[in-house]
This record gives sequence, C-alpha cells and structure tokens, in this order.
Amino acid sequence: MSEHKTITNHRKQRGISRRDVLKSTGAAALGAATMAPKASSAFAAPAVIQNEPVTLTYATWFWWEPGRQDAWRFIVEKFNSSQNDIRIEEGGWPFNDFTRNIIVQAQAGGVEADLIQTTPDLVLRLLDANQIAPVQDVVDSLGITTLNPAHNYITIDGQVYGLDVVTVAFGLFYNAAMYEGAGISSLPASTDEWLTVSEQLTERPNQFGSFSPHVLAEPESFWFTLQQWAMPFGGLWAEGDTPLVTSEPILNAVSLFKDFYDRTFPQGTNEATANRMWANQQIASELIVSAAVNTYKAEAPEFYPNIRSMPLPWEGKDTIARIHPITVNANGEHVDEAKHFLEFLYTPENYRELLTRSLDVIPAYDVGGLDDYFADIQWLEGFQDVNYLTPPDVVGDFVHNNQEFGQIVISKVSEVLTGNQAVEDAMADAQVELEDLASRLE
Amino acid sequence: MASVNVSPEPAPKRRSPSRLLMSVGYYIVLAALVIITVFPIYWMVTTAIRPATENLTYPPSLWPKSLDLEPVRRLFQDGNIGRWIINSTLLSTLVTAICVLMAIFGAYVLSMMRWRGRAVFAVFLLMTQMLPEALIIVPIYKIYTDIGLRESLYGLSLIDAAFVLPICVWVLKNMFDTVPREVREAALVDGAGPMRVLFQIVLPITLPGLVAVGVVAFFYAWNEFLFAQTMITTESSKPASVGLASMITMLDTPIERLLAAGFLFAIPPVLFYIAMQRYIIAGITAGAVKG
Repeated sequence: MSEHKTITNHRKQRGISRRDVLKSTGAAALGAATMAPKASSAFAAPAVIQNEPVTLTYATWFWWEPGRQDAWRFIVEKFNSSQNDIRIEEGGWPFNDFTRNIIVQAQAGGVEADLIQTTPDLVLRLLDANQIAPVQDVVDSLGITTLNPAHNYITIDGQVYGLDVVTVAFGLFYNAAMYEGAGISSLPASTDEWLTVSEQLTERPNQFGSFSPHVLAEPESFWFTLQQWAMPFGGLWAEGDTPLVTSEPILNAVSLFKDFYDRTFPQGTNEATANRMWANQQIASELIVSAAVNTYKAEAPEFYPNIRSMPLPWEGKDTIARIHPITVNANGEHVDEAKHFLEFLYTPENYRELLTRSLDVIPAYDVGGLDDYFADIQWLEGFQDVNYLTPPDVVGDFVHNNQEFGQIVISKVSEVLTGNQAVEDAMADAQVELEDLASRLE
Repeated sequence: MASVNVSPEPAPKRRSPSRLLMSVGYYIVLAALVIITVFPIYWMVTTAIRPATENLTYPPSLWPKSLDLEPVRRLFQDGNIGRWIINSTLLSTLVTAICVLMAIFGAYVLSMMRWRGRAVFAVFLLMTQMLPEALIIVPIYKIYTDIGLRESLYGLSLIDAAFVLPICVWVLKNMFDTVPREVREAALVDGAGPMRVLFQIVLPITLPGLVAVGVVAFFYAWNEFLFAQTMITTESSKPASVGLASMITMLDTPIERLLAAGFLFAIPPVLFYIAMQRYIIAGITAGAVKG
C-alpha cells in the first residue's frame, strides 16, 4: 500500500510525461470518435421539414459563360420568385472539366445534381447508364408538338430524355468592317471564293483572312470545328460503324482545310489567342457556333456590331447543329420538382426570354413571337435557310466515342498541315486506325 | 637613422587571358540562364498589364508601350482570387504539416529499425506513386461522399498528404540513412529511448532534409488539381489551382486576367521557398567539409 502511494507520488512529482500526453490524447480521440455519431444524430435537423422549400441543384457550365450566365441567373431568379416550394442552386464545373466530373460521379454511384446539363455526347452516356429520366410528360403537359427533330436521337419508345436549352449551330461569321475596308462588296458564293477573299484579307503577320482551331494541344476544339469543314462537300465522317475518312468528300474537306491553313490562318495560334484576335479585328472570318456571339457582346462590345454571318457558300447549306439537353436525374430525390422547373422553363414566355437573353437563334420548338428579336440581330442572315445535321448524322455510331474518333483524325490532319504527308496517305492511315477503333468498340 | 625596410607592394595579380575568357564565358552562360528562367515570369507580368492590342501585335514588343490595368482590376472585382489563394495556403500548410510529421516516423521506422519485410514495404510504399490519380479518383470520390469529407479543405488535405507522403518518407529515409549508426548507438547506450534518439539526435542533424520534405509537400498541394477539382465545387472553398482553371470557359479565355492571376498564384510558393532556401542549401552543403 505504502509502495503504491510512493509510486503515485513519484508520478505526480514528475509532472506530465509524453506517455501521459499520448495516452490522454488517444483516449480523448477515441472518446470523440465514439461520441461523434451519437452527437450528430442527436443534434441533426429532421430530414424533412414541412413547408421547407426543396433545393434543386442544376449542374451546368453555363454559370461560367459570359453573357449566358446572366440569362440563366435571370430565369432562375424568376422561377424562385414565382413560387415558394422549390429553389434552384448553381452547381457544376467549367466546360473543360464538366463531362469528366459528371462521369466520375456516375461511376461512383450516381450523379448528385437534380438537373444535369448535357452535351450531345454526354446525354447518350447518361442515357446508357440509366442516369436520366424521361421528360416526355413535360412536353405533353405543355402541349408542345413542334419539338425540334434533333431530339430524336434521345427519344426512346416515344419518350424524350432531355430538352434542348441551346442549339449550337455552325455559321460562317465575318467582320463586316474588315470586308468593307477591303472593298469586298459581294459575299463569297463558293468555298473557292471564300478562300480567295480570305487570302486577300490576309496581311501576315498581323491580319488573317480566317481561322479554325488546328493545334493538336487543343484536340476538342480542333475536332469540333474540323467536322464542319466536311459540310461544303456533303461529307460524312462515318456512317454507322464504318469510318468514311477516305471518301472523296472528306479528302476534299481536308484539302480545303489545308489550303486555308497555308494561305489564311494565323498558323500555330491557339484558340484563346485567336478569339482575342477575332475580337481585336485581326481575323476576318471564322466558322464558329452561334452561341459564341453572346460572349463577344459581353466581352468585346466595340467589336460586336461588326459581326455578320454570310449564307453558307456551298450547295445544300448543310451545317452541324448540336442540341444541349437539360436532363432530370432519374436517381435524384426530387424528380417531380425538377420536372416542374423544366415545365416553367419551357413555357413559351420563359423559353423565349431565355433564348433572347442568351442571344440564341435556334428555338427548340416553335415558340413564336421572335420576329422582332430576329429582326434586330444583325448577324442572323447566315443562319436562315440552312440544313441542320446532327452529330449522329455526321459521325454515325462513333457519336458515343466521338473524341476518340476525332483524336485519330486530327493527328493525321496535323501531318497534312505540316506537310509531312499527302492528304490521301494521311487519311488512309486514319481509316485503318478508325477501323481498328470500330472493331474494338464492337 | 634607422632604415626602414619597406617591402615592395605586391604587384596586382594579372589574370591570364585564358582565365579572363573563361570568367567572361562563365558570366555569359550565367546571364543566359537567368534570362531563360526569368523571362517567362517577365512575359506573364507584361502580358497581364499591357493592352490586348499590344499583346496581339506580331512581333510583340519586349516591354509594354502602355499600361492597361483593367484585367487586374477585374480580377479582384469579379473573381475570388484572394479567397482562392488563402484556401491554397491553408491547404498546403496542412498537407505540409501532416507530411512532415508522418514522414518523420515513417522514415525513422524504415531507416533505423530492423524488422521483417522492411525492404518490401519500402518498395511497396513507392509503388503507390505509380498509380495515376485519375485511376483512383472514382473510389476516393465514393468514399469521401459516404463519409462526408467532400467540400472540405481538411478532407482534401488528407488525400494530398496520402499521395505525396511516400516520396516524403523516401527522401527523409535517405537523409536518416546518412546518420552514422555509431551516433545513434551511443545515444541508446546512454539510455535514450528511440523517440529521444529521433527527436534529439537524428532530426537536428537531418533538419535540411526535413525542410526539403516540407517544400515537396507544400508544392505538391499547391499545384494539385484533379482531386481538388473533383472534391471541391463550392466557390468559397476552391483552392487557387481550381479557381484559376475555372476562368477558362467554353467560349472565352481572358488571357490577361488569367496571367495576372497566374502571377499572384506563383507568389506564395516562391516566398515559401525563399524562406526555406537557407535550410535547403545548408542541407546540400552539409557534410561537404567533413572528413
């Protein structure tokens, strides 16, 4: 007993040893860990509080896009003000990281957002993964009978799985001031004329007749725009699972691209710099999508009035149009509420407001009442009287693996641009690799 | 009269022409290296502060002819650059603290204790570095979602620390290996326990290595993008690496603003490195004069 006391006293005299600290810290940590679940369950708010508004997350890259972000925030604010039951919250990532993050979430058990903005490719991947719910009931309840046929590829058994909120179509834009300054009074009526005019406007090293992305380090934009270059020749890059890159229209398209590159492009310029040069009135024409124009209105207001689009200078006036459907998360907790928002969004009044505020020109359905709006857009001409093709029309079944397909094509086209290979040889190589890809994907 | 011996002044040493030539060549090479190193930073700054029209003129002028501070103003007005950099600083500091602490024990166990499977474990530890982040992002995302660690810089710091820790352990283990066994054994004979040997004998000797580990961990966390971008979506919690990337949008890249932000992004790690530099140099030169 006395010995025990002695030991105890000795410990007291020594003060707190490192071992004591470690022991007590460990005990505290263990205690905290044991207590934590109890504490959280005890103090957590009830899962459902009556009359509490439901918050829906809308995952999109639009929140980062100049111009378009304002249009969407306006619509969301209008929706939030129109009722007290549902609130829309901003979610998502900038465009470059959007698809990857959605795929990561889908693979990890499910996308979190209630409303998911998609690209033409992403919507198919989510459809394959049973991540999105049909929204045909929204269309039916609004009595819409003129939904853009571009929705057909996401319509299964009469059920559409997403509603387009921006149709992105390529147009041939030009800078009216530069054209007028060079004394060009009539617009090109063929690709040869366009090339001649562009060459006339090229004064290297500070002024260029045209531009299209062509840097291998930017594969997405390179391939995105290159597909459009087949349109003057009625070319398709693939049909079903058969690549067609050695077909005559595609060979002509690559040759045309090479001619423009040699004679009119700011060679080696990346897309961001080219966009600045375009806004700085150093590039005279570009094949770009209508959605880009809003950016220039917001970021380059002095340049915006000079933007025009010309009637596509080729027969048939084919152009690629991509719909970007907003979808409802089938595995989310608030499917009905999400559809309610879509219903609000797609009423003619609200849809018209979204379209006009976004400076878009291709409505997803016959919404009416846009004549005055269209009359005020100085760059609309080229978007009238065109023939829209969808991504599945242009790349066939490869639409599910569009970027892999594109990567093969652009690497071969790059060899053509640098003069290392003739067009025919490069495309023959590409054909072999694409057939390999097709067999791997079977 | 006493004579004073005045020894003649030593004639100034004349450098031989070949030595002079070598010296000049040395400074030319040195100047060239400095220019190559500093020029990208200079270009980043000048591009950020001069008008876009000047940036897009070819050939570009080496120095700005006029200034346009609008991109810098908009960077602070529209963006969250200050918040992003604070977040990155917090994140990197956390990762550095975790890594330094864990690496001390890990390296000590690998370097100074003898146990079965030690060599295999050391190699295995390094093998985790061979897994690309993209390969494990999905399971980590799932785990973090389940345990509620997403949207948290503390949670993110654990992933970053886990990824950089093996390298830190190896760096420090190699430093610990240089401590003579006799020194440790003498301390043990004198009655010191393993912890005392570690903290009072080994660590003071290998302090530069510890600093190097801190620098490695800090820089990794500062630049890490994939995990941060996947785990953190809340604007106010984003580290700067993710924040800067969010300035690049689908249809617009504000080059001047991005470069201004890039310059600000580079300042804290540079300051950190400058603060730590003398320890690292001490580490490099340690032992250079020992017999």
